[in-house]
Amino acid sequence: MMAQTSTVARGGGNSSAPARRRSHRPPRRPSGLPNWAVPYVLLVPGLLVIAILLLYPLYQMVDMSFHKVGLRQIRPNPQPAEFLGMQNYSDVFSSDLFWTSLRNTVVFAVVTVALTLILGTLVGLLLNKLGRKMSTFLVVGIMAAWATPPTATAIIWKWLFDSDAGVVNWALNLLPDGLSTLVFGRSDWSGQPWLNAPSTIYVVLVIAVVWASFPFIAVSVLAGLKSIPSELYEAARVDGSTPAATFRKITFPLLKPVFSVLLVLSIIWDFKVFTQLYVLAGGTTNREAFNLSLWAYTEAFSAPPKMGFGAAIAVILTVIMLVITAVYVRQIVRTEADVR
Amino acid sequence: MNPRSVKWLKASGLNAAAVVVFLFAVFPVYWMVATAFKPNDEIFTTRFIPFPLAPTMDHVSRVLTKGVAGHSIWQYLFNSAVVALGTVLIGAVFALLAATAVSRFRFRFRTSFLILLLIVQMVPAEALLIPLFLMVKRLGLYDQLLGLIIVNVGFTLPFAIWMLRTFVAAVPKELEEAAAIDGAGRFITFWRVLFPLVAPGLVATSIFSFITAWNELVFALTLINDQGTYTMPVALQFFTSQRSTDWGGIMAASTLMTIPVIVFFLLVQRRMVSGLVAGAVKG
Amino acid sequence: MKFGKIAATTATTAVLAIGVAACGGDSEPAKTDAPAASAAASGPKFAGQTLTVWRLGAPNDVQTKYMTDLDAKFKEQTGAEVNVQWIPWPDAQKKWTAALAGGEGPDVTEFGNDQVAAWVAQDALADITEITKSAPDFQQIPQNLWGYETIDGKIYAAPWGGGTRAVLYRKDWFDELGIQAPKTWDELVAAGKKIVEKKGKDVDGFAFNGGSDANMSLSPFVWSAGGDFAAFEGGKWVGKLTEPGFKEGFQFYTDLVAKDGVSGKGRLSQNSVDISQRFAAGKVGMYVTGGWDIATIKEQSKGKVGEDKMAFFSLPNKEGSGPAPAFQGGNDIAIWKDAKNPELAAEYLKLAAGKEFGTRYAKDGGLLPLYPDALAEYASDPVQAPFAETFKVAKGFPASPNWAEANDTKAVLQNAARAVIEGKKNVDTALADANTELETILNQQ
Repeated sequence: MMAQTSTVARGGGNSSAPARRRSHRPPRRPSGLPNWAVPYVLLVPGLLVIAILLLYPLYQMVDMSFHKVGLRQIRPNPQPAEFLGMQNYSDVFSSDLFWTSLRNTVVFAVVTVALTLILGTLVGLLLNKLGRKMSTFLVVGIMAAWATPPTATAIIWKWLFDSDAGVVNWALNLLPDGLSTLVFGRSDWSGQPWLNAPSTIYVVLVIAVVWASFPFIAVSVLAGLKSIPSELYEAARVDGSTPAATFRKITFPLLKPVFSVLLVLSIIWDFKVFTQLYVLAGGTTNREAFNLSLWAYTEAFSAPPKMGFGAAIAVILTVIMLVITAVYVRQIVRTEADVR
Repeated sequence: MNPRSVKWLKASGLNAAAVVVFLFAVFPVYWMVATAFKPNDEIFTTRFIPFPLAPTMDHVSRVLTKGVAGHSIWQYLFNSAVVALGTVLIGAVFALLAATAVSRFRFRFRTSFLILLLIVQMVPAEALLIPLFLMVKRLGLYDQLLGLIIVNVGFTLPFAIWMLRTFVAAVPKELEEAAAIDGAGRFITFWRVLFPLVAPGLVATSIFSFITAWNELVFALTLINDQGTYTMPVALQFFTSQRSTDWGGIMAASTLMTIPVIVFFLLVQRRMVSGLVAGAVKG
Repeated sequence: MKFGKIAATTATTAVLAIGVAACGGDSEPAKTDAPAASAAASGPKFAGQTLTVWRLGAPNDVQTKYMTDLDAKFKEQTGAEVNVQWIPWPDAQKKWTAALAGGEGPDVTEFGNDQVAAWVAQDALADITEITKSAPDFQQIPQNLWGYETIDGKIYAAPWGGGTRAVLYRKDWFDELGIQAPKTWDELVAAGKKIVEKKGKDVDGFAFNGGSDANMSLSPFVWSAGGDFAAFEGGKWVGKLTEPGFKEGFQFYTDLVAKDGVSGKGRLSQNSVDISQRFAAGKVGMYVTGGWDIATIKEQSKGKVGEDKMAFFSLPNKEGSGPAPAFQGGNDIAIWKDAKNPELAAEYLKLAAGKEFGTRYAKDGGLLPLYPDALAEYASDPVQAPFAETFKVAKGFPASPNWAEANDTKAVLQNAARAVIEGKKNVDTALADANTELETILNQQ
């Protein structure tokens, strides 16, 4: 089946540049396609999907952010959208909501990314060490956490932190009064509201998001661990290396590419967290609890829809993420070392 | 202490840690399932009720027999399954091809492509809703599951490529070169050598794509117009009416919705192991 | 299609035709010939066409029956089929937005009446002024109920079912504690305090609503104190939040939590749905809501809080000289601007919101009928009487297309109330800030 696919791909490559193909053809390769063309052919399907479904809409989003766009401007036979230049952007920056949303976004992302990665890695290592049965047992457990629909889990977290019927206040009340006072400075947790003030909403949000995202990190780390040749560990054991040293010298360096991917992806996801916040904050009424995505959504989709303004917030959010991940992006540009 | 009891202690320590993590992971899920079996007065209470005091099948049987908004629950589950599996299959093939390209070859625009993959993931999906909606309509895929599949492939592909490329890169190139010297063609090499070794990574990304597509709501709601083509996440929305929410129904339906994902995972997990074994034999 | 031809005949053959349709007369072409010929003359002009109708929510059996009957009648009149699509309430906004952008919308759709202005501003709804004038049924709907639907003198939707608010209370608690239905604000607070005292600290005597629909709970207080949110003066919206009447009502409303403690501080963002759930759990004594909550609460409490334990009273004004004006809500039916066949859509609108089906829509959906004689029947129903009474003095929010943004998107007053209750601002500052913001929102183009 794979061979047939290759034939088709080869045909495509031929017709595009028959002359150059011959000159570049490496003698050692028996299977047609010139080396230089192979990666492009491999990329075509994916690139096509991305270009049509993401790049073009992305371009439109950026374009919108410079215009005053309501529904009249995007429906069939649209009215022309008024060009605003940077007006939407300056409105965003001069809004009070921008700074609180930005603060909420960044603080949340930093805390959550750190906790998710640490917990996920530890669980990944644990899975690798556990016996077969226990490992399957745990994997099924964390998969359940990951698989549960986010809307349902957000509601459940809301219940667990309910001020009256929530299990969290109930459990905190079970703590010995002395201990509770020592740690939290209070012993009575009855009726403690978690979902009023932004600070406690975000405490709950961190827990909910870490809970939902550590399984993915754990499974990825596990997959990474499984692809490390066991000979390396054998050798380390023979050398009498301590577990910590083994992790530092073998596991971490070999998993570094996986880790950096997970880091960047976690940053991206946690900057954009939406569904859980929407549910925990009770919709769009608690403005102090907005993050940038919830704010952009609110502007673009609540009546009256200000799509240009919402798009500007989304662009700013994207740029902030780009800046934060720039170190990593620059590393790709500079080294190009991934090709082996 | 003799070495055996040290080993035993260590193992039981690890197992204890596993149980703690398990409980943390499962507790909210347990709460969902428990709620699905609680009668209404135990759901709408301000008391803390750890498990159903008077378990009832009301919610589950209502969801199973009456369905949601006039359609059988199986209809929605079937639609969701088509979307999720379609996304996984198309996405896996496209991602593997592209991942191989970026991690095995140097070519012009390679770096640009990688950066592009990152940037497109940074854009909040909600902000792309309208442009994407118009695009799907232009492609003639409005109100079709295929349109939803394509959109989900679009959203999961950058991630899948990005993730898979590290797995491809981790496969020693020497293996492929050895195969090439043995006279194997490029695509035979790809299929026999690279694929088995990348399989665990492919499984991890497939699970991710599956879950993302399975739970996707916003596009499933807007790109589909005919109720018979709605997916499960949209069906869940029907439990919330203008003035009240049927929590028991939501939790029962969510539980039903979670089961297939866990089944899917159990199926591919075995593949992950066999992929590993195959890779080890070849290697 | 065949049904259409049969059905769209004269009234005498209609009964037979429905019978045929119900029996699955699809396979009886022989019978269709004669009526079809005569039907062509009497005008089944829409035979073979299909009208797409969007309704909101998941239908229950009563609503399914209603739509079946309505659509059968429609087919009888026009010969056209109806394709009903049910849209889930949450995210309905997104569905309409996408529909408008893509030109794939419905022909006729259900709406919340407070959303009409916002959608008219987006040019989403067709002008139905002429249609309403030509329909005799619509003339019977009182003028004050067309407020939300009339924009710049043109009508864009027909009211379908009304909703106003009153105070739902625990009748059994009132009897047990010897409380009378409050006639003044002081009595209201006293009743609330007594409930909290006797029923426990975690019980809300009078539940504070600070969520998405907070303004329908706040507005009776400010309106009866003589205040209002904003007024359209000299070509622009002027905020009225800092005026004494508004301040008095607002102060009273926030004091329910901050000073009187008749509602818990832990639940500042609860909306009426959240409160009704707590009510079902026996944790609320009184709150502002609509008549539909009785059925919901009975179901949620599994009958523990049944009809015999609940009743409504109209919220009094401060001194007790009568009911406070309550928020007038409800659902509308409108014709989508992009409707493929506006003429057919108009026929549907006239039928659905006409006296027969309009009244049934309201009754089946737990709303107030808009036709005066149907409403009059409600005055003798003890549960509905307070609503029938307040419906007469019901008021709407500022009829600006931007009101929705101030009301729940930006939640101007909810945030002001939260700031006051949490002690971050005093009432004057909070209202001054809110007023500035309200004016900005209402006056934006």
